[in-house]
Amino acid sequence: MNNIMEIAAYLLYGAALIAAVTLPIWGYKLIENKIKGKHKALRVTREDASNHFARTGIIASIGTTTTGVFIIQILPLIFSVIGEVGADFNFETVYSTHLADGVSSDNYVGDFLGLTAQLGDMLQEAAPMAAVGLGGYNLINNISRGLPAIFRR
Amino acid sequence: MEGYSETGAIYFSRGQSTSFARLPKVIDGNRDLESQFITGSYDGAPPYKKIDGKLPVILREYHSAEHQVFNAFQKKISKRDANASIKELAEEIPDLEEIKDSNDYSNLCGTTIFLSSGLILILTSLPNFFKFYNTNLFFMSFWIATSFLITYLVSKYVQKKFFLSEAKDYQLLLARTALKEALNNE
Repeated sequence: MNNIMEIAAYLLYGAALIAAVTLPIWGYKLIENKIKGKHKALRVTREDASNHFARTGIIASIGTTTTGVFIIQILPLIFSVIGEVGADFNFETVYSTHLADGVSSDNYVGDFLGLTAQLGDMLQEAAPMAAVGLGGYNLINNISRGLPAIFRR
Repeated sequence: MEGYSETGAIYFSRGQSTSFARLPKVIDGNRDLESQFITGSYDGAPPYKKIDGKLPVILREYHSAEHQVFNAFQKKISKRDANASIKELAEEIPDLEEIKDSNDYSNLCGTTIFLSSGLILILTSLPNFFKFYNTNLFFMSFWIATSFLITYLVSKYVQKKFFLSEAKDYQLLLARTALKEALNNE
């Protein structure tokens, strides 16, 4: 019974991790669908330069936003959670119980958690700079060209 | 569906084409106003122009009218199936009272999308600048929600203050006519 609970917990944790890691993809699709609109009969399908330019501008803005939010807030959290959950679930025990013959588990897990913690710290330091760079670029680039800048001819 | 407005004309795009309704140069006071609007459709985009500086009030009124008609229509068709035909959707064209009751703010407006994306990025990174690092699920959820809320309020304020102004009845009717034209254009 304990093993089943443990496996279920790992599966749940894995699913949550995949959902968080893929956030830029599904977050972007969610916003894209909102912009496209629900009703197919009302969608704009023309492929002229203006529409192409507009779409590229919108995709660039939304893409940088979803990726930026992901990098700033969610990625460091994932690294942090890996460390905490790893400790809670006792990675060392699981590895030594099931995979003791395969790898030098203690060192491997220790290095893995240490590395993720370092990556988390690094991102916490670097991400705001990148975010303000991207956000500032979006604002200055668009405002300086007039709003909506994409429609400049 | 895309919308665009300029002084004296409102455009809605669907599929490959754009439909418009335009005020005539002279209005006959003895005839029904709506029947005097000049309407038409063509293949291609609305005549988008760069915005230079603050918009004149009259243009902001037309912009509001375009948004109100779009919002009222979207509200009415929200329960319709995603595969509903254009004929079915055309049955839901809002009347003047429904249009007047609808909000003129649109979070899908070009004036909002770019401002929002920059603001969200800067706001979400603020705690990190104060060395308040995010390793807490509850804090992350709270701060992301707060960032989105602040962005929504700021972009709404900017759109209302600089790009919108209360539309008059004839402008709402003009926008409604443009929508009708877009939905009836095969």
